[in-house]
This record gives sequence, structure tokens and C-alpha cells, in this order.
Amino acid sequence: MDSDDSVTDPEAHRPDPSLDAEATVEQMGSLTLGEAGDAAGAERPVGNGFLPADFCAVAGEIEVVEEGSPVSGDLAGPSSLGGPGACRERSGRGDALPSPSSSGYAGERGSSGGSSEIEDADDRETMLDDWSSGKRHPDEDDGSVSWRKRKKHFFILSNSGKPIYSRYGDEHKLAGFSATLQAIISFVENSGDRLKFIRAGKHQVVFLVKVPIYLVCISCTEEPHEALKRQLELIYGQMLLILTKSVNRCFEKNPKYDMTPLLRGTDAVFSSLIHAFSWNPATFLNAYTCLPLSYSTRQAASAILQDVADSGVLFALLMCKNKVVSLVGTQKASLHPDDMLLLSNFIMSSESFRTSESFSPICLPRYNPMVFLYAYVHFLDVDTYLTLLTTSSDSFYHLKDCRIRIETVLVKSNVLSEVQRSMLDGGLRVEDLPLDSSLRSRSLTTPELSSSQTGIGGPSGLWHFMYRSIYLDQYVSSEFSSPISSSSQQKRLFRAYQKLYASMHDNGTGPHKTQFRRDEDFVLLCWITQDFELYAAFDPLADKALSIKTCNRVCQWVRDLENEIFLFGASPFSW
Amino acid sequence: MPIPFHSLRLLLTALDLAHTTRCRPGRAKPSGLVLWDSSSVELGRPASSLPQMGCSSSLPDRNAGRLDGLNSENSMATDSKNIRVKLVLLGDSGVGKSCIVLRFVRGQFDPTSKVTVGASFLSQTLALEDSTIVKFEIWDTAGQERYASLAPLYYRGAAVAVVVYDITSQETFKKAQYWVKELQKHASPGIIMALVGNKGDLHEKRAVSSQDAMEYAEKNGMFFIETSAKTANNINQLFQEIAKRLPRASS
Repeated sequence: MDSDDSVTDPEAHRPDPSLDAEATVEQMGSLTLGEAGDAAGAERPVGNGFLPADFCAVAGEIEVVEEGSPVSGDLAGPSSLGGPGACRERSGRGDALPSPSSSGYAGERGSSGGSSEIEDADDRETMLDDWSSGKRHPDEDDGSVSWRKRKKHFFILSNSGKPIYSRYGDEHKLAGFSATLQAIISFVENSGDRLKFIRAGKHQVVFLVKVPIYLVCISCTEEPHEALKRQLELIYGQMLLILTKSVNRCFEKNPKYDMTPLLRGTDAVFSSLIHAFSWNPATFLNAYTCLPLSYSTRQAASAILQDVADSGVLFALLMCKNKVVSLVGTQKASLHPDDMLLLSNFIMSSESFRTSESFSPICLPRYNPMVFLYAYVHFLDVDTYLTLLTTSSDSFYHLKDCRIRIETVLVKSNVLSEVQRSMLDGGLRVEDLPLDSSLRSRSLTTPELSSSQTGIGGPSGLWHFMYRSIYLDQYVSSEFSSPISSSSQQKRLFRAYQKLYASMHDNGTGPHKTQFRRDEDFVLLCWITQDFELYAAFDPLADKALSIKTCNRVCQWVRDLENEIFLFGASPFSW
Repeated sequence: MPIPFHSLRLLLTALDLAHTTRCRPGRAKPSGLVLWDSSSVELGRPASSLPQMGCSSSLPDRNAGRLDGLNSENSMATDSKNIRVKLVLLGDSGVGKSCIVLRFVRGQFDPTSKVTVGASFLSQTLALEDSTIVKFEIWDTAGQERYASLAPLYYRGAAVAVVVYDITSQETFKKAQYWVKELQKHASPGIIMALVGNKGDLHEKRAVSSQDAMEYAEKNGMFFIETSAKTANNINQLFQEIAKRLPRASS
């Protein structure tokens, strides 16, 4: 049941990879999850590795607690993870004494009716992009009912238990809660072990230890714990981008050091990153995406950036929102996709960059977590911005000159207008997937794929896809087609991809080559070769053989368009 | 409010590590004032020869040359009636430094607070009655503690420092005094310093009396003015006062 849906495809390593529909269907036939909407199966977490133990801490002393088992007083019990901070009754009354048997964090039991309101509000806010205004609900603390009902918390704390950042609520009011988290972590550490995550009912508590910093996520979003851990890594990276790792030395001198003032004014940066965890595939794909542009347009942009890079600029990066127009680095220097994600998040979420040109210290954690680089940032239009990175703190006027030169060329060669046009046009659409004749003849004989249905999505019920080129560290994803036009559907698809990704890259059971999965929302198909990873979503009623054929055509289509949707010639990534 | 120097130092260390070449103090020319002079225009100087103080305009020959080289109007900007001056704004976060600059440069006021990152660079020219034209190159620095260690990067070589506090907050006035002390120790000698009490429109919440601020300013050889970026009160006066105090080129 659990190693359900992943099969090894021996064909995957052929020089010109293409999925053999018939053969793969044969293989998959016996392995597909219950097709007729097997809800139980579909809702199970995809991560194959962590059952039967819900609680996967490696610590021997901590007992394994199955979902729904009676609450125990043990530290590892599902409801006592908050210790004094969280062991309050759901009524949220003041400073209740720590009571191991009280209902646990966010009280998932018997409260589904009452909690729905705030959880909905939580979602709605995300949709309204409320994150941009900085911290939400700063007046809350762990005594507030609303705080405890939040679906996803992120915390940064020091290893002495001092709060550094909390997604919701005032850090200083959460001192007790932070101390509790610290106690849990150090309890396990003292026995020479390390805590990875705790499952408690619907909730997962995921830990990331970066001494002297601890990061914790508490979530009931059913995301795989690998995905949550990766999100913690990104939050840590975002913190380093702002402060560098040398902040650790503050703790060497004073373990009780209060770091919150150093992060003052950065709430919007973290909120926007956390928001990206539910819409931006770059947060889990380890890749960046490019704005589609004609080859010559991108070449023109790259040429002028290269010109500037040769004059002592470490990286020159032209981006439009989260999409790369062009990127040039000096020899041997390469920019990690994570650094690009964190840098663009930092720039887009800090309003002051839009006001005027800026010169700011930033650290690229994957490039060198110990040092600041200097970033010259200038918005060329509302969405398009140029970032020039240098190691020299004195280069402002030089970089300003470079920017003026670049801007002049970009305007003259119409690159900027092409960029704006591409933003308006959007990316690849599944509806535009070229038809091939064999499939067309076949679809005519397949009643459920008549033209009336292809009108709401791509051929063969294709709704969406993402293609990640492994060598380029880039991905391309299609626009959302009409069947997934609402933001809640898009978020559901995003989460489904996330699970799919985690299950395909699960170290315990993987790596896998292909996966075909059907539930009431989608048919999901994943295919990984040496060169690429393809993730595709289809109509839940889509035909399996046709889906596989369609995936082959998507890959062909992407290869045909690669000059426009990918950036070539960026220095080879070698880390 | 005491500043935890150890943390700032550490950040500064990180910055220093990033330098490929370290700055030797002796190389920084003290004067922050730049007069446009045709003899100083040098075109086509390779970028790598930029001086250490590139963030400042303290080295007229190169910086002026580089900038002018890109602006076609450079030829007319070479008489002694044109003054280019580097100005830095310092002060606690949230006192309204960016608002003052944006009011002066663009005539705008945006009540939504936008936290400055690092430092923003803006410029604005001001014509004086004696037909002198002053071009302010303004470094609007971030007030957050994590950027305090970076302030020298921006105030080195500045001819003018505007230290801003919020008249409704005693704490920001103390922070302003910290900046004055820091400037007295480390900035160019002869730097013109202005003490600015912003948010004058909130006088009913006043926590710092004009008298105290004025006395402090006098004691430290600064000039003092209260402004409101919101109502634009005294904003232009602030910059005109600064311009009047700039040393003029002798013929």
C-alpha cells in the first residue's frame, strides 16, 4: 500500500528518453493507487519512509506515539510538545499550570467546528497577499486561541531558548514557548541524539539545528516533513542573507544574546518567503525559472550583462519578479538557485528598493555564508530589477555607471519592452501543446476526450506541468489552465506536487523513475531521467496511456522551445 | 539606549572579510565637498582604479569625471557656481529619514512605513538666491541596528550629516546623540552637521523639547531645525540652510 505507486522504469536511460506508454501502463497497472477515488489512500502522506512510526525521532528514549493514542505525560506525547508554553486548555486562559494531560498544541481534538473559522481566515489572508505588510497578528501569543489555531508556525530561536523570530505573534511574548522548544531539542541532544520531527495527530513539529540557532516548524498542512525541513533551511538561509553566519559569534560571547533587534524590520521578508512556500515551485525544486523570451532578446540582455561582469562585477542578475531574464557571473563564480530565490525574495519584499537605487550589504549563504557582498539594486520598471553584486564596498559609483549603461542598452534594444510583453503574455499554456497526428486520431475514438473536454485544459486532460532541467538547474512550469483557475485549487496542486517530489526523492525508498497517481483531484504523473524531471497533472478521469503519451509530447515540446524558456551560457554550476 | 557594540563589530568584521583590499585611513581625503572643475574630468578611467572611497564623492577627480562622462551636460557644470555635495542621513529607525528625503527630492509623502535596506541613493539640485546651484547626493541610511556598523561606509567623505530624531520619542533623541558622537570621532573634520527633529506635526505627543535639542545642537556646533515630512514644513528650509553653510569655492 505504501510503496504503492513508484516503479522503476528500465527504459528511462535510453539516449532519447521517451516513456513507452504500453509497457509502462503494464507496469503501473498493478501499482496504481485505488483509482476510483480511494480517499483513504489518496490522503495518506506520500512519504513512504516514515510509517509505521509516526514519530520518527531517532532518540531511543522517546516513545513512539501512534496517531490518536491516549495522551501521555511523556515529553514525546503528541499533545505535550509545548510543555509549559503550550499545555494550556483550549479556552486559552492565561497562565495555566503545565498540565501534561491537558489537550495539546492547537487542540486538534473535538474542535473541528470551532477552529474552521480562523483556519479559513488564515487561508484567505494568504490569498489576499496580506503577507506583504509585514508581520501578521503581532498582538498574539501562545495563550491566544487564534495563535494556536494557525495552520503553520515557524520559529527561530537561539540554543539558549531565546526567541528570534516567530511567524505569528510577538517574539518577546513567546519567550516561554521558545524555552519549551529549546528544552525538547536539548533533552534529545543531551542523550547524544538528534530530533528530526514529531508527529502529533494532524500536527508535525519539524526541527532544524544550526548551532547556535534552532529552527522549528509546527504545521498541520500535511506537507511531507522533508518539505518542511527544506523550508526551515530556506528560512535559515534568508536569515544568513541578512546577517551572515558571523552572527554566531554574538552567541559565543554571550549565549543569552537577544538577536531580535538585529532582524528588526525584516518581517515582510520572512512573511513573503513563507508565502512562497505555498506557490513558488523553486522552494522545493532546487531550480530557478526564466522569463520566456526570444533567443536573440535574451542574448542581447546577456551580452550587456557580460560586458559589465567583465569590469569587476561578481554577478549581474536581471530579473522580472521571480523569473530570470539573464544572469551572468565572473569566471568560476556560480549562483546557487537557493541564493537566487532568497535574494529575489529579499529584494521584492523590501519596498525601499523600489523607491530609489540602493547599495546594501547582503550575504549569499550558498556562495559564502561568512561574508557580506554588496548589492546594487535598481528597479528598471515595476517588476524588472537589476542586481549587481560585488565584493567591494566602494563600488557604488562604478555599479551606478554600469546600471546606466545596461539600462540604456536594454531600452535601445527593446529588451525591456519584450520583458513586459512576456510578462503580459505569460508562460507556456497546456492548450498550446502541439497535437501529434497519431494522438489526434486516437482521441477521436476516445469519447471522454472529445473536443468539449479539451476546451478546459490541454490535450488528453493535461491541466498543468513542470519540467526541471537537471543540468541547467532551471525549471519551466505551464500557466494554470482553466480547471485549476482558483487559488485554492492551485494551492492543492502545489501541495500535491510537493508530496510527489518528496516521494520521488525519498532516500529510504527511492530514487524512483516514474510514478502515476490518481486521486479525486488529479492524475499526477512524475518521470525522472538523468536529464530532467517532469511533473504533470491531468484530469482525474484521464486515460493512463494517453497521459503517458502526452508527457512524451510535453518533453518534446519543451526541448523544441528550450532556447526561449531556458537560459544557456550562464557559467556552469559546479558546487 | 546602549548599542551592543560587540554585535556590530562582528558584522563589521564580516564586512571587512568581504573586502578584497582594505581601506587605509590615510588614503581618505578629508574634504567631502566637490567642486566641478573642468580639469578634474577624466574620462575612460578603468573601473578597477576606483579609489577606496568610491562610496563617497571625496575624490573629485575620478568620481566627478566618471559621472560627468555619462552626462552630456557636464560641460556646463564646470563653473564654481555649481557645487556637488555628499550628504548622509543618520538616525534611529522610524524617525522619518526616508520621508524627509522623499519630500525634498520628489515632493511626496507616503504614510506607509517602508523600511530602508542598507542605504538608498537619491540626488536633488537646489538653486540658491546667489545663483549657486547645489547638487545634493543623498545617502539615506537604514536605521536598523544591524546596519549601524555599516554607517561609515556611507558617511565617510560626506560633507554634510543630517542627524534625525523623532520629537515624540526621547529614545530616538538619545540615538541621535550617539550618532553625533560617532560623527565627531570618525567623520571628516569640518563636516557640517544638522540636528533635525522630525514629526513636528505630532507636537501634541512631543517628548523632546525644542529647548533641549537646541541647546544640545549649539553645544556641538550643529544647526537645529524641526521639520515635518508629512506637512512639508521646514523641509526645504533644512536643505537651504545646509546649502548656505557650504564653503564656497574661492573664485
